[in-house]
Amino acid sequence: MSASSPPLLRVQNLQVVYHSVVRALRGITLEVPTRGVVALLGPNGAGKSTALRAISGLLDLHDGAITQGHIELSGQSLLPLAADGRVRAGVVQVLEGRRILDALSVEENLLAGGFGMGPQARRELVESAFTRFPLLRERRRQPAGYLSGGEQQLLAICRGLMRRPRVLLLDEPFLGLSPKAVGEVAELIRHISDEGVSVLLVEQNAKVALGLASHGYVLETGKVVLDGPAEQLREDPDVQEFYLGFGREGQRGYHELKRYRRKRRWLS
Amino acid sequence: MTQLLQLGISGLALGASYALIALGFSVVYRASRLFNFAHGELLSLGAFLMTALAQVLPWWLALAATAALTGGLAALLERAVLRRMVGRPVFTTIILTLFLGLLLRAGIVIAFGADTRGMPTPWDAMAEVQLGDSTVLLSSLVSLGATTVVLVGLHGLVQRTPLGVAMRASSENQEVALSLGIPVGRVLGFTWFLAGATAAVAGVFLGMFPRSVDSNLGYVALRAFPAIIVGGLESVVGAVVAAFVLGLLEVLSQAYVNPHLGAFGHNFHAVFPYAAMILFLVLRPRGLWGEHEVRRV
Repeated sequence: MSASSPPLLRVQNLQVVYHSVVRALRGITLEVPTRGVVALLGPNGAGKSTALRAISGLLDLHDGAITQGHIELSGQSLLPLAADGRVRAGVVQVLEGRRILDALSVEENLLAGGFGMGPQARRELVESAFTRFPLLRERRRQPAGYLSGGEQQLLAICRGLMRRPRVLLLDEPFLGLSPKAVGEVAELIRHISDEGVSVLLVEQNAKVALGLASHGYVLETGKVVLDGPAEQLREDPDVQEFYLGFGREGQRGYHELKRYRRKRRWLS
Repeated sequence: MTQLLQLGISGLALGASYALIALGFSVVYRASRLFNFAHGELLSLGAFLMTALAQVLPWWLALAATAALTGGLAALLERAVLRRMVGRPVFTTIILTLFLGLLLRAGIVIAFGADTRGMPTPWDAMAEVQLGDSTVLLSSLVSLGATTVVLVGLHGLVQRTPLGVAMRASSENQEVALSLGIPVGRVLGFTWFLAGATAAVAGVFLGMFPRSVDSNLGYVALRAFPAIIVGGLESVVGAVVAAFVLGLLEVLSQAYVNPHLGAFGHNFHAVFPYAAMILFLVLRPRGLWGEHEVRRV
């Protein structure tokens, strides 16, 4: 990340509370530059999805609220905007678990992503998605629920691109995908980034995520515990041990992993 | 044979009005997951508004204004009252809509009085049309025709337009729709508008000769209720088809079954749709078309 250009998306000291009592984020600060991929890593329950929801304006739906902090897109605060306003401003979230609209056709899923655009622009973007993935064109009239998991994820990301976002928030796009599909989705993310769309990537699959990202943040129990350039994080011994699956003296055995988990359960 | 055709057309005309009611009930259920028991009073309100507006406006314009006003009121109810109930137990919203229905009913009696009124029509209310050997009421043909136009138009709107895609996306998954920048709240309001508008149109046609407009017209909506269960709560098309079938069966059983049941059969046709509904609830509770979601295996 170059220090000279101001960041596209800036999150400052963000605190989020669910149901007025559960603190999910305890003041996180992060930045997404005008180009490139930023990874947000962390275990389950660290607050990764909460951070994305806060940025995209979907907290209300989960009875969550921002109690402190700022979210700015090129210097403009996003906080006064509702979810649809933030999409118009250029922030689009692709939800965890693909969330394809099963009953709608492949094409209608894309069209739903382009709601509120002119017919001309909408048509062009559907075409560009079809050009990217000819398979989607072949199946345009089929219910989108019939696509495979990997295809659904590709469709979900293309659907998120319909409004020409400036920053795309991806929530665990590799979850539950086959290794081949992981490769395809990673390829798509790389393309999107090359085309000038910034990406904030939330992942548990740290290996893939740090392979794509230029910068990374590690979140634990609602706080950023570590951040730095991706190559630096890849070399970090803690990240290697907890997120990349390496022990200090090489690969850990499955036997030991089980013991580690059991120990953790006792302690927590 | 001639009698059958005659009954068939008036049955379909009745079914058409049921279809409009069932449609409104069903789209609201799909969009907000609640049973709107005030729906019948919206229908009643539409009929009364029409009797007043048709005095001052050309008939078709009055019909459009009635639909728009009733739809607007429905959208207002959703925004002001029911939106706050999102996430509350179904029971609460049912009681609330029942209460709203009572309020509306009282409001209608205060505004329009409790007298029975005739529904004004630009054609002679008793006019009959010769179809082969049989004669049918012109009103039946008009209501069948107008309803078909409305239903086809709505189907086109929902299936072919961006707004329709947004409506279906919002009713399938609100969070996804929000994440795509669809203003789910406004889409929901529009859904209620459509429900109110179609209820008003149904009320206008149900109030025509041989029936009339009185403050009990709202209860007719309950007659369309079996159609929703038989067609499947999730399926708007199913509810519409079932409404036509039940309207037809109601009229036919009145002519062919009631006479054979003696004193017991006096109002059998009115009970018949409920009997069908109970049969469905026992044998196939999801209805004919309900819940056939696509699932990936």
